[in-house]
Amino acid sequence: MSAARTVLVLTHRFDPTADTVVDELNHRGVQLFRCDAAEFPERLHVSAELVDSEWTGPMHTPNRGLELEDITGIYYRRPTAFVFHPGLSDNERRWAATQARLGFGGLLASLDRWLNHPHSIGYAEYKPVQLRQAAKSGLLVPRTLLTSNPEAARAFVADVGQAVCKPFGAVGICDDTGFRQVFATIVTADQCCDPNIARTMHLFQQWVPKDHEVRLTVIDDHFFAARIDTTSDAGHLDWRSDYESLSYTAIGTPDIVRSRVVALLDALGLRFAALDFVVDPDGQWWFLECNPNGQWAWIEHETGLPIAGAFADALEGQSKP
Amino acid sequence: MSADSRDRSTVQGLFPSSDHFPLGRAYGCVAATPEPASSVRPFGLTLAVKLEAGTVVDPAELGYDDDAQVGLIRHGADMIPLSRHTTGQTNTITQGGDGQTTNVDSDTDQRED
Repeated sequence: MSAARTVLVLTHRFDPTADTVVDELNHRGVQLFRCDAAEFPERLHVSAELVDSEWTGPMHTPNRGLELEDITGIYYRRPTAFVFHPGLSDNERRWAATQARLGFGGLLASLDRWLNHPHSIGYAEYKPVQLRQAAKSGLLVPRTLLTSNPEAARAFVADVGQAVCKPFGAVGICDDTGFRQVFATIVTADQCCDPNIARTMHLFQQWVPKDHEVRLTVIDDHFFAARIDTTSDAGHLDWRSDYESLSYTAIGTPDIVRSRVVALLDALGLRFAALDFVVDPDGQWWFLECNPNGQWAWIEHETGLPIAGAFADALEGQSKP
Repeated sequence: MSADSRDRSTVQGLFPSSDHFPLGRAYGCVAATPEPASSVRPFGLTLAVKLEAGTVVDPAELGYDDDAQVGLIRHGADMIPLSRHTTGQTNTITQGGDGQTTNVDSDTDQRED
């Protein structure tokens, strides 16, 4: 059975951001196959043969299926780890997991039409990579120090005057006080004498005077910029820490920023990204970070920007990669 | 099978190419076990704060529409699309049945905790 022109959505079942795109595709009557890597190999089955330099064959669950050659776009959201037959031993499961990653994952990785390709997501998630590429693309990037050396951190913070310490990734921790998360936090030079800076890598960045922030969502040649204003000190420091204080306004993207973002995303191999900027009192846009698999649905909800529609266009192959 | 053993399916390395797909972990297995801070907690982690607000979701209240291929959530006596309940902010929290936080959605795929 062939389900012509099918969009593949890879994510777990409780992903409201993916649901927004699925709703849009359903509204358009587009054939759609949503599955999670966790369904492989017990519920999700695949067979592929290399024919004329393309992998062809079916992928299906008990409820629906697609032909690999019919895929018009693959939306990589949040697929979760493979789940294997409970009868496997730990060693057998580890072996099976390697085969699944390299075989099933490799088959999917060989396909075109990703939004975004998972390898590009993995590469672009490295903040040192994105900061360097942003600077090479001409974007303004705050002075940044990566270090595990307390003395280097102290000297840097003393030199720039006002600095933040921010995590390389949004991983929190659950300790005896509950679940906690690290956001960008203002630090002093004295704080940076802490010997436990040496326990792992840290990122220190010059604090840029802030008029407001912008989350810029880019999908192929569609640019959706949302100005973010806040009424709280915590939100002023890092808007993720206090959503209740935020307000949003759809704005345009300056041409110079747009062209440099295009260069950045080309360098990172991304068709989609959610980028964060600080806009200083002089109106200059400073690059903070690029989220290659970032959240965007709440921006559409708050501003009415038609982001899900742009995703659907891209996944149907209707926009320019 | 424990979630922990499922997560340790590859040899850890600086650039494990085989870890590129999938990027995610077993669903709902994020930092669920509380443990006290050590005496050598990394400086950056000492800056961690409790979230001001978040959309807390109980997995027992979730469902799935196989036809529409979207998540559902209980709203009174009805199950409604999950996307109408939460807008996918970057700090959406899934609350486990034992009262512990089991998943925090974010801008970043979480692979290395």
